[in-house]
Amino acid sequence: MNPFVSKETKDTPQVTFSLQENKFEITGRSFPENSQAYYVPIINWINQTELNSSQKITLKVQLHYISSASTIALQQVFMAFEKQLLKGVNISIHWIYEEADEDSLESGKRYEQMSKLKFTFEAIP
Amino acid sequence: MPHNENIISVENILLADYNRIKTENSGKGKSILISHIGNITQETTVTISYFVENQLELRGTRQSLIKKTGNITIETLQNTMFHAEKNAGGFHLAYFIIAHNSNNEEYKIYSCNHVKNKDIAAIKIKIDEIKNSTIKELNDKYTEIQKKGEFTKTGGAGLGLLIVAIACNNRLDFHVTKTNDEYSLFCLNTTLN
Repeated sequence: MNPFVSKETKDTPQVTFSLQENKFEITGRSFPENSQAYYVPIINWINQTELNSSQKITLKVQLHYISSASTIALQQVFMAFEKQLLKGVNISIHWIYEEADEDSLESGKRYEQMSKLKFTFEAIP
Repeated sequence: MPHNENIISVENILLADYNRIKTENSGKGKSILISHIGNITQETTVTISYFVENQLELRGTRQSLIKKTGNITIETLQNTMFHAEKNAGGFHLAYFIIAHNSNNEEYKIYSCNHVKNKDIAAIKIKIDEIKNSTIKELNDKYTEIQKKGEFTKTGGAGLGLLIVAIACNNRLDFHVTKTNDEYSLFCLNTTLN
């Protein structure tokens, strides 16, 4: 399956899902006008891709702003990766946030609570 | 009242409220960080959110407050974009203002838009429910909605107002001004420090 790449814009994140490079990340800002339309292709890619169960996949998430609609969309992304986890794929989430951004940490913790995926957290200056 | 006079009257009410807020927030230690009156589009939301962030950084505002202000800005503007009524010309009758008071280091965010009178009761109930909730209850409600992972027609699943309330520690208030038989102006303000 071809990688999924979506370049960062002022209101949408950089999304890179590449099996070949083992690079999985969602970084930037997420408040598109239509979050559902933006994230559906991403979720479809996850659902339609045969992920290698012997490969350790870490999805790096670093979002400066995430709108309410994107919050729901990201929940759906994690739910799609959870389905892969249940198929035996070794996948975890690495949530990166700015040290002073307690809201982002709380947001990550909230996703962690709702998910079977393993989360790790990294604070950056 | 003839159609054109009706529109002008509504616009005058909006403009009067907009100018009132700007006047109230001028004077010693008070300033307007940004003010916008008129249509709200995604481009407006992007431009204003970046401007607000840059201005707050220039003022040396602490990062957590910049973030909260940014979150409220995005949610409020997108809420107007998705939910506010438009006039016959296809434009929102709306405003957005952020005011700063250096006497107590408070930021106040004001937003106002046109809504149908038949929708006002439901909006009031929702906001009163939020205002009467503790932060823990708001967070629990947020978690409950997020867990479902379901979009509403406009995408937010009702999280927008919760995000705003949590960001401002539930320091929000509203007023409604009836403009004619069909519409009212719904104005929300939040306080951050």
